[in-house]
This record gives sequence, C-alpha cells and structure tokens, in this order.
Amino acid sequence: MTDILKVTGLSKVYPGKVTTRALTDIGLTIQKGEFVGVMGPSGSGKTTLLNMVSTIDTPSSGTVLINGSNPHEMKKKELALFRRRELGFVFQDFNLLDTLTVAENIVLPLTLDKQNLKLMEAKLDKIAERLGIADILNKRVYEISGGQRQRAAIARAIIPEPSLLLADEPTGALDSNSSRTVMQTLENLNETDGVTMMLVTHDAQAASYCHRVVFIKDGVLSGEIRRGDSRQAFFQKIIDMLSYLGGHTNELSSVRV
Amino acid sequence: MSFRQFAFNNVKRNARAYFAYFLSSSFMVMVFFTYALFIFHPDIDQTRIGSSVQMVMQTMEYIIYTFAFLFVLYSIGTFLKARNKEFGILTILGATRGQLSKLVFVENMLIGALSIVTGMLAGLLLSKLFLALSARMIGIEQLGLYFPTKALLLTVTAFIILFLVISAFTLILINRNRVLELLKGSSKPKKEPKASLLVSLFGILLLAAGYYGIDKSLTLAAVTGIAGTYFFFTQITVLAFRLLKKSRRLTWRGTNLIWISEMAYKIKDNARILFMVTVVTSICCMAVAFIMSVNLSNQSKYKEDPYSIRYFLNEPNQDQADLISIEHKLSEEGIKYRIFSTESYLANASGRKTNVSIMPAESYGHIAHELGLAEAGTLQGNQAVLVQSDKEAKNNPDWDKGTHVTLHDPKARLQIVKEIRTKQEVSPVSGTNLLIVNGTLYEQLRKQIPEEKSYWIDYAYIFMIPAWNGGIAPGRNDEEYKVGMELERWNEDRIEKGESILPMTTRGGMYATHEQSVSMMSFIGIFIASLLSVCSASFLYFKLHSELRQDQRIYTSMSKIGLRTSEMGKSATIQIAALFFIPIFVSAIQTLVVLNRVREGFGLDDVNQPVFIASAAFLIIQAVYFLLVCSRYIQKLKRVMV
Repeated sequence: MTDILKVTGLSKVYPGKVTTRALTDIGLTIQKGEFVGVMGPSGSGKTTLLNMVSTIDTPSSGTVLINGSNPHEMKKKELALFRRRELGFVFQDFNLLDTLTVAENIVLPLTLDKQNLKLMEAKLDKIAERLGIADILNKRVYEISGGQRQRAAIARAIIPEPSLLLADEPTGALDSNSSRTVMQTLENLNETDGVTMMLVTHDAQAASYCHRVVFIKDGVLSGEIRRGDSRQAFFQKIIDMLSYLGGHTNELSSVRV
Repeated sequence: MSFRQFAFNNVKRNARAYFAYFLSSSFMVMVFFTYALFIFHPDIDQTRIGSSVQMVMQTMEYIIYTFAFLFVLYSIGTFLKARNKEFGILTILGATRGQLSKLVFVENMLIGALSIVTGMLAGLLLSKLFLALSARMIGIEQLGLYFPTKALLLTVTAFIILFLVISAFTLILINRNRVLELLKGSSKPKKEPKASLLVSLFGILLLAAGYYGIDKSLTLAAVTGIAGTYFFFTQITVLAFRLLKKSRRLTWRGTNLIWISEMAYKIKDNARILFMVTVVTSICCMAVAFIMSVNLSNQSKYKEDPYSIRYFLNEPNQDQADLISIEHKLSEEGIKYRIFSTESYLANASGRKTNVSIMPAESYGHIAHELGLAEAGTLQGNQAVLVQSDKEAKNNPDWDKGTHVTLHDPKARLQIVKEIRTKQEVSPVSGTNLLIVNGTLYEQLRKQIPEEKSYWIDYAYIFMIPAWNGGIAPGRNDEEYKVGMELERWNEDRIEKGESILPMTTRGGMYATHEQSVSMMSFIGIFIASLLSVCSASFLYFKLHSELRQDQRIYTSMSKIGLRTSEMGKSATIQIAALFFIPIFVSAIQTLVVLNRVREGFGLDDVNQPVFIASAAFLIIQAVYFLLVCSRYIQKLKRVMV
C-alpha cells in the first residue's frame, strides 16, 4: 500500500498579539484507497488541518507529503497546477460558478489544462452518468437543488482523477436526504473507483461512511476509531467518542456554525 | 426616529456606499454646468463663430444631458442592486412598499440636491481655472468671469428634473422585485436583452434615419444615432455570445470558458456600458476631429491663396484713397511689395453652380508673370483658356479642351482651346474659375453689362509681398499675421463708418481671424472632450468596482481548485480590455461616417486625417486609463488568490 497523504509533526501557530496555537504535532497517514474522516468540536483545528493539506495555508512546522511530494516547497504557480491535478475539493458551500452551466462547471479543471475536447466530453458523460446528474448538465447552478449542486461539485473534483479528494463539510448545507445521497456517492466512488478521500465533518452520520475516523481536540490528535462491519455500530461509537471528548450534544448538529 | 430621519441617517451612516453614487452624480452636474457656462458666455457670442458652430455646441449640451441621465440611472441601478438585501430585510420586518419607495425617493432627492450644489461649486472653481487658462492659451482678450445666471438656472432645473424622473424610475424598479428575489440578491443573472430580427431592423432604421436626417436637424440625428447605437450593442453582443457559446471547441479551452461565460452572464450590463462609453467617445472624437478639420481647412485656404492683399474697385480710377492708405501702412512697416492690377467680370455659365470670372488676356498676363504660370497664348474670336486649380475643377468636371461654354448676361458662346491647371486658386475673385478671352471680346462683353450691375466688374489691385510667401500658415508673431489683423480691423472700421464699401481682403488677416475663433473652439472642445473622457473612464471604473466583490468571490473559489494567478490575470484583462477598447473602434467608425456626411455642409476639405488623428489620440488616452484601471483591478483580485 502506498501512502497518498503523509502528515508528520505538523504544527500551526497564528502569530499576533495573542499567539494562537491551532495545531500541535499532528501525524496522519492516509493510504491509497482509504476513506478517512476527521472530526472534532468547533475550534479544534479540523479546518486548519484541512487547509494545510489542501495547500491553501502553510504550516509553521512539520511536513505534508502528498503522493510523495511536498506542496509547501513549491512556487505559487506550480502549486496551482498541483492543486488542479493532484487534489480534488468538495466544499460546504459548493463553490460552483453561477456564470457556468453544470457541465461547464464540471469540465472547468480540464479546460484550464487545455485538454482535448472529445476526451473532456467523454469523461463528462461518464462521470455525470455515475453521479446521476446527466439530465441537468445544461442547467444553470441556481436552477438545481443543493444535493445536485454538491454532486456536481464532486464531479468537478474527481474529473481530473486526483490522488486525493478533500471534502470539507460536504453535507453541511444539505438536508438529511441530500446528505445521504451525497455520502453514498462518495462511498461508492471510494469503493468502486478506489478514490482516496479525506473528509472533515461535524456530522456523525456523514462520518459513519468512512473507514476510520480520527478525532482532534484543541489542536491535538486525541483518538482514532475504525469501522467494523456495521455502519450503525460505527455511528454509535462515533457518538460515544464525541461525548467522551467532552463535546456537547448541540455540537452534533449537522450544520457547522 | 421619524421616517425622514431614518432616510437621512441611512445616507449619513452608510456614506461610503453612497459616495460613489454621489460622486458620479456631482461629476455629471459639474460637466454640464461648466459647459453651460461657456455656451452662455457673453464673450463667446461676440466672436465670429457662426450659427452652425453654435448649433453644434448646443447639440453637445443636449447630448451631455442625455448622457448624464443614463449615467445617473446606471449608477443608481447598480447602487440599488447592491442594497437589495437591505430592502428584503426591511420588507420582512414589515415595511410597506409605499414606505420603501418613500425611503428611496427621499434618499435620492437628498443625494441629488447635494450633488447639484457640489457639482456647481466644483464647476465654478473649474471655470475660473478654465477662464484663466483660456486667456493664456488663446491669446485673445480674456474671457471674463461673469455671474452665470442662465447657466445656473439651466443646470438646477435640468438636474432637478433629472433626479425626479430617475427617482420615479427607480420606484418602478424596486416595486417590481419580490421579497424573495430581494433577499437572494444577485445570484441570478439579469435577463439577457432580446435579440430579434425586428429589433435589429429597427436599430438599423434608427441609424439610417440619423445618417440621412443630419441635414434637417442635428438634434434629431443625434437622438436617433444614439438610440441606434444602443440597439447595435444590445443586438450584436447577444448575437456574438450566442455564436461563441455554440462552439465548445472554442469555449472549452483554457481561460476562454471563464471570460466568455462571465461576459455572457453580465451581457446586459456590458452592452449598456459599451453603448454609453461609445456615445461619449464618439462625441469627443467628433468634436475634436471637427475642430481639427476646420483648422485644416483654414490652413489650406491660406496655402491656396497666392495673393497677400487684394483690393477691389468697380470702376478703374475710382477713389484711390484707400489704396494709398494700404500702401502707406505697408511702407510704414517697412514691407517691400509689388502691386499689379487685373480686370474681370463675373458671369453665369450654363451647367455650373458657381460663377466664372471672364478675364482679358492682358490681365492674365500679369498673373502669369507674377506667379510663373503658363501663358494663355494668342486667342482669337470666341476662343478661351480655362484656368483652374484641381479643387475648382471639381465644380465643372465636364469642361475640357474643345468644350463650348454658354454664358448668360451678356450672352456669349466660348470655346475652350486650352486648360491651365494651377496649384493655387489664382482667380482674384475667390471661388470662381477663370476663363481667359482676348481683349477685344472682353471689351465687347463688358460694355453690354448694364450700369446698375456694375458690381459684376472687378478691378483687382493685388499686392504681392515676397516676404510673406513662405507657403506655410503664419504664426501669431509673424508679420503677416499681425499686419493682416490690423488691416482687417482698419477695413472693418472703414466699412462701419460708411467711408467706403469697397472690399479688401488680406490673406493673413482672414487666416488670423479664423485661427483665433478655431483656437478658442478647440480649447473648449478639447477641454470638454477630456472631461468627458475622464468621465467615461471613471464610469468604467465604477462598473468594475461594483463588480469587484462578486469577482473576488468567483476567483477565490476558482483559485482553490487550481486557477493560476496568470490565468486569472488573462481572463480579467480580456474582459476589461473589451470594455475599454471596443468603444474606441466603434466610435472611430462613427466619427468617420458622420464627419464625411457633414463635410460639405460645413465647407471642410478633408476630414479623414483629422478623424484618424483624433481617434488615435483617444486610443492612446484610453490605453493609459486601461493600464491604470486594469492593473489596479488585477492587483485587488490577486489578493484573494490562495
């Protein structure tokens, strides 16, 4: 098994009048084909960790290796290309462009790489079919539902066949029904296509689709649980872990504040 | 807190948001007012600029007003759009439509009143600077400061009406939107303008009406022309983007997808902006090119005139006192001159609009000798020699060697046996061709002219001053310019006092008089043009500024999924460049068409060269604005790239 993501000794300090230590000595490895969840209460440092991995923020110390290369040593120009080719992003608020149709949104990463039109169309059709959004390809973003938007965003994230798919609260803005479809879509992609995924979430329901979930509290890794055969049992274990970590019940809400 | 207080506080506490709107409104007031100051300036009326030029200047004022209207309407449109959410919240809190309308109305009138006052104050300051500058630049008597009652009243009335109408307009704009849409803000694109064959045809019809109606009424032509331009842009942009989007091969390539879709998304706004900037640029371009053409015509008129001074008598040996005065004046200044005289009479030839001068061979001999032209040769009977410049030749294209020419009053039939082409207009009576006949025939015909028509006959005394024949128009400090002006003034006095009615023309003096009124016009023209050009650039900046937040959001999310900064720069530059440069090219074409159309009406020689120079100048200025605005904008976008 190859390591797709290898985080070692990662720390992040936000300097200022009051120095804030957001992450301390985090180590995390994700292997090819794994589906890993990151959970923790608000302010625990989940998003900071995701930002380091997604190369949007730079660490104060420690290294992030994605597929063997360290993106934080790259120049800005290379970094953009790296994100485009090696990483896929799924955001809470979709980040689809209003100006484009669904199809155009999905192929955007490929057009930026000036790929062959036929190839792009073939890939688009295949992915749209897989994610069940083939009949809305020519619609504009404001014309489709939240669940459809998130599936379009997932399609956009995986169309360049990235090494790692990063999902930041993908169900945060969705109702429970749409959340389920989106999580099933992700699970399906992981199982059939072997897409490696890292999911940051608040939502125990969503996290229960992962192979394993790591917990962060106050910037420190504070536990890890693995899924057995039953998703229901896994869900219960996650809930237990969250209460153990001192989260309150209101932090189990599916919407991140 | 009363409702009025609420409206007032709204403006006061959210000053930053209102500031752009206020600034653009007062800027338009300032431009309008400064311009009105000049139209109504007492000294400008006195200069001999002619009714046609005044008509042009007045038309310009209408156009500035129209533009101000659109400009303010556009700024308030974007301004209100940005506040849609606020109106949505107010509605949810239970504000009635009436209250909302009242709020917007009160706010608008508040800002309107403020901008009228500020704009006029700024205009007054500006005009003071302008008057001081103009005195130095033009070199004629200073344009005095005056209390501009007329301009003041006009500006206040015009803009009060404008703000009232626009406020009423915005009420319709707001009331149409539903709360949900208000709360959602601007994620939905504006409806794209309808492109249809009928509307396109209507647009073409308007443009054609403007083109052909220009003789009848300049204002009408301006209105139809501007309306036609609007349809041109709305139709052509929709059409262009439809075609572009059809081809995936083109759209789905690199950053094309981003800029094409963004421009298509903002198509309505973009079409409007292109239209407005084009209209302003066209006006500026036309004004500048027109003034340059007038100036050019004046110079070529000077160059085509071989004679320094001409003095005309209707009978030989008439009162010679004036002639002596001129000679005296020239000797006083120590100017060497030669003098010779010619004789000719004006005749009407069939098939010609302008008169011809019939001249005896002997008189032409003098001219030929002085100017080094070909001799007429011996002429017999009704034989005649045609002397004309290339320009005059256009008046009678079918006259040639061997042509028979029929003259009326006295009747005669001449046969052209030879043609002499000249570079300059050698006929002493300007605007006529020369037909040279032999002395006997001339005498015969002259005697038939009745006593009361003796003014047909011209005895010209021509002063040749070798020092003045430089071939280029004289500068302000040249002797010809100064002495010419003095002689013209003396001539005017003399005619006014009734001492003499005999005409005298000086080449330098004529040139100088025209040159002065042209230079004043060009000063005003360039002043207004640069104001408007700054105005259109700030307009573009305003538009971009109002879209900045949305663009930043778009580019941040694209940056996260791997858009490079250089790709962002490319996509943004293309969009901004289209807004800045398309109008320049369209207005260059418009200017070329319009000025060629009115060329003859204003008696201009060549308009193409001035149009190219003026357009090129505007292109350069626009390029500078573009570089400034674009680099600033991209700088701001770069900040949000991760």
